[in-house]
Amino acid sequence: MGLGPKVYTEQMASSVKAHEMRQHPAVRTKRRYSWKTALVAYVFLLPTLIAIALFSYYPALSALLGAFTNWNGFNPPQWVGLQNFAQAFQDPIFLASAKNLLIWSLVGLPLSLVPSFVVAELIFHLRSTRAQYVYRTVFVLSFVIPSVVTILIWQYIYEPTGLLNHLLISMGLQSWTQSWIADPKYALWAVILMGFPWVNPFNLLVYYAGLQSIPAELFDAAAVDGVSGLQRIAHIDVPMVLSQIKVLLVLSIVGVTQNIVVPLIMTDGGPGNSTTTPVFYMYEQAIQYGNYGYSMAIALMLFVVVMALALVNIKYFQAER
Amino acid sequence: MKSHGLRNKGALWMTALSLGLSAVLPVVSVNAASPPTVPKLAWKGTITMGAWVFTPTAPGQKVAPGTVRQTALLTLANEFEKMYPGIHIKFLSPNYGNDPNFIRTEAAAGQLADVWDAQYADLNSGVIPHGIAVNLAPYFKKSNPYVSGNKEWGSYMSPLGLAVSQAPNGAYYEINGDYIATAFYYNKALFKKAGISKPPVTWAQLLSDSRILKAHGIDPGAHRPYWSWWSRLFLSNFLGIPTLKQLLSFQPGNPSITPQDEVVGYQKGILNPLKNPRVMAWWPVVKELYQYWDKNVSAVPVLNAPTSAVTGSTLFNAGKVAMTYSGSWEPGLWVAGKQKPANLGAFNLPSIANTSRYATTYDSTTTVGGPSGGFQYSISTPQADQTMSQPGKFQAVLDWLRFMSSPRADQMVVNQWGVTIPTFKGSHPLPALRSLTSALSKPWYPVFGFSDVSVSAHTQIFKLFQEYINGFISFASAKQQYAQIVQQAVQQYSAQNH
Amino acid sequence: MVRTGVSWRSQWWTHGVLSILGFVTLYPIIFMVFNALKNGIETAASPFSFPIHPHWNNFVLAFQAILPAFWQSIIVVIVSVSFMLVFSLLSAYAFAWLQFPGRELLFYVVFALLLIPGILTLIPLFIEDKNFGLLRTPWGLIFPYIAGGQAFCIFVLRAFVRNLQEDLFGAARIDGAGDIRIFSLIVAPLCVPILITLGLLNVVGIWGDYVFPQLVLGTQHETVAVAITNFIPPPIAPSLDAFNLQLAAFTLSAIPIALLFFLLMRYFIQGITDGGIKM
Repeated sequence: MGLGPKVYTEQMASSVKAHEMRQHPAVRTKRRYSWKTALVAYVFLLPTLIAIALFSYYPALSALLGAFTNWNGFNPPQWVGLQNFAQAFQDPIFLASAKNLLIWSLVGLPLSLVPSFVVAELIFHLRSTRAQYVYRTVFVLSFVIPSVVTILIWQYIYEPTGLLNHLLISMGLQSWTQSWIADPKYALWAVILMGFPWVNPFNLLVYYAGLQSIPAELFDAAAVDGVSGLQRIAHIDVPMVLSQIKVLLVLSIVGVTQNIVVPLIMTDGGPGNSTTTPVFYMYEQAIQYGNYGYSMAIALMLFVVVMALALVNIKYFQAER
Repeated sequence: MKSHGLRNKGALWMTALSLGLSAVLPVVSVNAASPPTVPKLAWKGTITMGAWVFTPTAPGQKVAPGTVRQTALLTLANEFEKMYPGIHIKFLSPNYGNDPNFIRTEAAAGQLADVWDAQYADLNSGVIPHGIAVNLAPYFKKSNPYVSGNKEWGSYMSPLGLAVSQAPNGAYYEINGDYIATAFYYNKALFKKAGISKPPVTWAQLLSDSRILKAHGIDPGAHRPYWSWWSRLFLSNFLGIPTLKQLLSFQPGNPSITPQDEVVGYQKGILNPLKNPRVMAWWPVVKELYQYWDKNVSAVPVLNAPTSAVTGSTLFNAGKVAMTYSGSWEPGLWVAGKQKPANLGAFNLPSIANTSRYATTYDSTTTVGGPSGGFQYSISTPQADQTMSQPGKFQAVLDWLRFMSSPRADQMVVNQWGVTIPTFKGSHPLPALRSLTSALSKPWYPVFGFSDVSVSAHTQIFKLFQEYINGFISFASAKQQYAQIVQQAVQQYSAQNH
Repeated sequence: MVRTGVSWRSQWWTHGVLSILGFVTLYPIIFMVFNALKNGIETAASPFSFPIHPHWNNFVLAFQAILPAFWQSIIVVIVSVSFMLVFSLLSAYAFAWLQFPGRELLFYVVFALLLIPGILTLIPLFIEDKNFGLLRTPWGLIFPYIAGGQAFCIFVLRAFVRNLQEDLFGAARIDGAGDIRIFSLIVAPLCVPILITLGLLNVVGIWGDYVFPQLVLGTQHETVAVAITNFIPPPIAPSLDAFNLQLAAFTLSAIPIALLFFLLMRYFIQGITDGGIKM
């Protein structure tokens, strides 16, 4: 048993503290602004602020104002107050889409976070640095694959006489075969689970970076004490890459709520409304039905929810320090 | 996103298409009737046009297999430019227009082309908001100076084209000059292999042929369950002529069944699925066919598939399925697929007279679409296209539209493509498609079952129908959901148009 | 780094798993190229097979269709990504190292943009472009791209810059260097790998975007992605090979990106791995 994992945790904690202190020079000079520094800061920020004010906030705000109007995208909008929001809460498709998003997030977030971590672990613990480099390159190369191509492949996998059903039949599981994306019972799961092995190259590299920054002494000490495998991952690796996980979690929340490509290209939100998500519904309302006002009301609600989630995340993690 | 083109409204024909490989036939040459007097145009400049499927192919550009090199509109443009030195007609990419979102966005910025293509359903339903296209109604009453002896531009347009392109407010936002066809196509070799010597004549035979093909290990057919095709074929038939005529009367003066007719029909109970069992009695009939046909195709949930390799057409032309139900472009694809031309056969919707106790004797085979081809052009308002506010420009653009919509021009442009038939009086279709013209004079009572009332109704009904056809929801549940969708669509329509 | 003590039972097992996962991850590339060489009939018959009779003409047609769009795409990508990176690095430096009133607030103002769905602003941006006279010019794309990239780049760069050794700055400050010198002589060079990483991520995104460019540039000066989506014969009469031709075009358009990745792979990975992307 040796000293047990507790020691590592403490060791780790102190290392994290040192790290955090280094990370926050500002903490020490709290609230004493030098006006010269502030001026420099504003000058540095100016290009960004001008750019986002003109080309991000202005259009976003004019769109969000549209949430309170009846607007078909061409004729002058008419002010309707909260009517669009009231409509949304009585709209069965919108409510179904919210439920779908909830399921998609609960399953999709782990899928976007865990497999990449596992692969990062596998690569990181290879002895040959050359092999590590090769594998990283392989996974990173998937950046160049257009999403349309991936979706098409999965269409061939999921269709009634597709690869998946062939595989099940060859394993003697005839009774398990389904029309995976045509059946409203399975469609949402089929599209969520699409994209095996779910390795996101960006997440993979971020984790890898986190693992790399763990002091080697921690691993050595762990090895000396015979702490290995899953135990080590749970007590050293995961806690040490926690800050990476936080960032990726926020980015994944944003990613999962804005994922429109799959419903748009693969399922059209169907069968029925089983794969309709709020962002897809928003797109459908605006682009296909010409209901911009309603669409923007949905966008506004989506934005508020995502912002709240992200802020909770950030605040929670900051408080933790 | 790509528009789904014709909205799958095609026409189904009395006579089987003669499979004369329309796509490769030369343009029928017509002598230009030289107009006696040509109006003077003060304006000079460039007229932009998004001509969609009739866009002239750029010189030197290779054409993909299965498509035709287009030159007719360019020839017409050259003639017009010669008549009016200083006016240039510029064609935009073939993908310009037709997609309502693209048109709306361009219009919102005042950047729309001067002339563009759109489907009448989008213009009438407000998906392309009113105010983007010029109402051409007043000009239809005036003469087209480029057609000798013409007194009213609208006088030679097809009554059907005029009927469908009239918006609820009475406006005409486009000219409509061609007609598209659909049919069941079958692979004679595969039929022979299953021991079937001739195509089915009744719906029961279609089902039994499908069973026989399947028993011989042949995939009988592939087609996505397009609601609006089946609804027009079956719902129109199940309602029967007296009811259809009653529906027609709800919007006086319009000789086709319009969304407004349907809305009134709903309010009177005729089209209410909860009150009239005929409205949905045909769903189980169609469902039976799809039990035999290729599930891979009927299961693809995408209506507006921007990219999908699994279609009835690809499977059929690959020789993998024995039948498909498709548009008159299919023979061209058959050739492009390097199949033996002699093996392609076509037949019309087999008789559905005995499919249900609600079935009537009305022959609905001509109801599937028709005037929803590629020759549907509109002119931008100054709000949609700022350049239209230049003094005299509208007159020039209108004259170009008049010039390119003479019967001669209609024939040149439409026949070169070879997929649809020109409909203006005085134009002649390709010999291979000649048999189709008879449909133009037949009574035309398509009932879209509310899928033409709004795009959202169209999408939702398609999805619902597909779920039912694929066996994932019961008839009772489908009925309840259909009733809800329809009720909502009717309310929305009434709110928008009154 | 010593990792010999780590007791994986056998590295062969790891190699096996990684090879399989790697193959599955990259399989779409193989699928794309194979089907780009088939015709529609062959794809329908056997989507996963090897192209026995390759139709090289698909690539000729595809090349012809997207060639004119290459320059437009390259200009848009280079200009927007360069400005995006310079602007965001300046801001990241300010957020990470400078004290000023409203720092927290402004950071959230930037960060919130990460959460706004892009489709929301499509039409308003288009109208704005028009009002500014930017339509039909590459600037109508470039400005929104620069703005659109700020949130993510600043989010990542702020973390990166904050993790740089403070000693470096301290020493420089003692030498009397101002922020501009520290920024340009110390911070910017250290950030090159992460800038390459962010640059590549944005190049991929902009290179593949088609909805907005199609609206802004119109049909006469299309970008590669627009050219590909427009490279389907009109939908009214679908060509059987439309999808194969598109795959050929996708393959061609992926080549410059793949080359860029190969050239810069070392920096790309180093950027993220040095970077400490964390909160």
